[in-house]
Amino acid sequence: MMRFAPVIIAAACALIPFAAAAQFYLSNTGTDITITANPAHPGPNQKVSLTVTSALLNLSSADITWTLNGQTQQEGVGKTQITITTGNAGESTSVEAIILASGQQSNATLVLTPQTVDLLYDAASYAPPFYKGRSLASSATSIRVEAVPHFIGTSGEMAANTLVYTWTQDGNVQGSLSGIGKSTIILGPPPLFGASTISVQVSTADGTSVASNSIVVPAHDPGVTLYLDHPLFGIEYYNAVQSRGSLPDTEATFAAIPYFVAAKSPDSPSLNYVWYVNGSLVASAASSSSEITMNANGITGPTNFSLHLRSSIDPLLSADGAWTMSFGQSGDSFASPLASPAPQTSAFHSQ
Amino acid sequence: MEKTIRLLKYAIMVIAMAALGGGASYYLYQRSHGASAPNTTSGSVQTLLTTSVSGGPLPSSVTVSTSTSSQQNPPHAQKRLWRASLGPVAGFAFTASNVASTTNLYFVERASGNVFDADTANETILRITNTLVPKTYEALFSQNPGIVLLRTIDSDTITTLLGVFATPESTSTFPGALSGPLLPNNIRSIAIDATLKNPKIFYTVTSGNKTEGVLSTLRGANPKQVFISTIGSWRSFLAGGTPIILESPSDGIPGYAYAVSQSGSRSLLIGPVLGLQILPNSTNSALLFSGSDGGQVSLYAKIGTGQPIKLPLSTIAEKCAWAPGKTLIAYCAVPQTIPSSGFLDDWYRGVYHSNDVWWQVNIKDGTTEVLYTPTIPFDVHDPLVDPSGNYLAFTNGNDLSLWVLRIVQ
Repeated sequence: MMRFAPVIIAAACALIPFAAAAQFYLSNTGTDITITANPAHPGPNQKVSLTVTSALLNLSSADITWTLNGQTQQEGVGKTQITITTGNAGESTSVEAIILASGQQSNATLVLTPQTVDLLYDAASYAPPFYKGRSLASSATSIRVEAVPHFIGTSGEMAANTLVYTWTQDGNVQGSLSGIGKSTIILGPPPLFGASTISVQVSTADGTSVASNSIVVPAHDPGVTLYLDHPLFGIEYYNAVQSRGSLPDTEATFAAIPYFVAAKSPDSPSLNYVWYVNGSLVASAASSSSEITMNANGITGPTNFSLHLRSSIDPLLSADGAWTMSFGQSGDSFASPLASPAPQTSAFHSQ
Repeated sequence: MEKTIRLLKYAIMVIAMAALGGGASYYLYQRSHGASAPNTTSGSVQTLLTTSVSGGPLPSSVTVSTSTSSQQNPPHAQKRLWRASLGPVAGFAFTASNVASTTNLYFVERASGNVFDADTANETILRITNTLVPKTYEALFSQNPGIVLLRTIDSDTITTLLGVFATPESTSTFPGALSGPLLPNNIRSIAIDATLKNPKIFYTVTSGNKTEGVLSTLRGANPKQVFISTIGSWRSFLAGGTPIILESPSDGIPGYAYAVSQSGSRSLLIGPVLGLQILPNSTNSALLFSGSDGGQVSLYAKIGTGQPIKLPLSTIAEKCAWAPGKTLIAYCAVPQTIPSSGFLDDWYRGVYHSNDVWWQVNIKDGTTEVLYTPTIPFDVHDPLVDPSGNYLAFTNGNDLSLWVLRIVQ
């Protein structure tokens, strides 16, 4: 539940000579002293660990002074690491490490301007029309991702379409889908039984402000939930049929709802429903392949029925369900256990 | 053919019950509003009610319920808990009636789309409309008298009818017709701001990988796109005139909620929170929100721009309702048990039903107390407090029946 929003670094790693000789030598070595931040892109009011390193100088014996916005914070021999707290969003903090080693003074500066980006997602998968939850990803559904940056500049919040977005999925940069203003992306499904890590780095056009974020999108196993399709109330999405139950009526229509499959409708031609009643193959309802109507007139005892759902566009889809139902019983309980097993002699038919 | 006959039987049964119920309701309404009426009762309906509360079987098509015996011996002895509908309802809202000095609860019957007026003080029901809108899955009322949004499904297309009907403030002849224009197709989520003098609606419409958030007048005029997204899973809210969008919740998955400005910019209200649900109060000055992750459910309150405060109740924001006014009191139904995984998703799919106890929580100091412990299982959905603060209405997720709880005994 923590907010890990990214950051900014406008950092400069410079070696500024104290003596003329040193100036020459040090200027030839380029950016020898470096300050690194962990996390690399801290968010607003977040603790960040800063470490100064050098390939040429022995910092463990050097006198190191740390300043924040020009004010000395800490100093000491071999003091190569400090922890600070960033400011509010858009508020820059200038960190400087001043190093005195072998009579030479050098320094490095890092400017932290914390910004944030929210990373949102859902999937282009099926969920019923009034479903209040999120459409989740499965093995054949695309993932829809949106970055919502909160970049504060000198004139207020920057427009999302002016920022540069670099997207990666499982470490692979999505070059053609990245660029200025590309705050949304549609990606392929996560691996079966696995998850996809999607990251975005957002920066200003001049690269002085950066924020990043990442999400892990798991592949959900699509499941079939069974509901009574009541002639008056419609599909009772509010009350799923449990694995065992009873109904007062002798005839009922059941609707199988394939949550999170790659389809626009339960009756999509790509979905193949195979129904069995007491072990016998039966046809779906004429009006809807995802429904089955059962008439138990004259039949006693509970009935077993099951469903095997497959998809022509997703060979990995395998959603099955099995239920035991007693018809013509008092009450309307989908959850009450039945004492006796289903007789195999019941003769049901679909309509 | 057999199926057609069966459907015809159901239709005849509904029409018959509706006629009987409507007549009874009208008669009872006339009685409760001072009209002369024969001194008879409808004891059979009362029997059904008694049976239903004790957990017995219910006739699925009975649409009207009331008790009349107590009305003959005023003052009326109110029950603490009253079942206002026998069958499933599509939506409900309290209305402030100018005709009677009682609190009235309007609701829409799911089977017929008819509007009913439940008098909470006298525990009577009046059928307001008789226009058939079958299989109404969702209904939202405006505070403007006589306007309701009825949402149905037609061949995989969501339709939203803005229904206008006569109320007791404008007529005494019931039931009457309901009619009105259709709003755009495939409105995925919609909210009405009941606090505004000229109410607005905020809704999302999805087409492919594009979802638009539109703010318009209640009648759909002057639509203005204030929000656009690639993501389709959004929930809409309107509080204090401000559109609010919430990423649709899922257990253990981060969610964000934003306030949307007229210019389309989003300001973060809260997030990321795993399994985030929100409940802004009517003026948008305070927010209840909750997180759900692997059986761990936590409720928080945020007043203004202050830091969130964790409340000592393990429930979700959708099981809470704000009390009216500025008292910052909320009532929350708290599940007695929460499954260890997938609670939110299973709850939304109707796979899991909780068994709740009502609590009252004072947001200012975080104190809580038990309000009511039901004797039968309630999986509370869509709770709402009436403008006087005396009644709580909610549906039971087990069957979408409508219930009214008196807050003060």
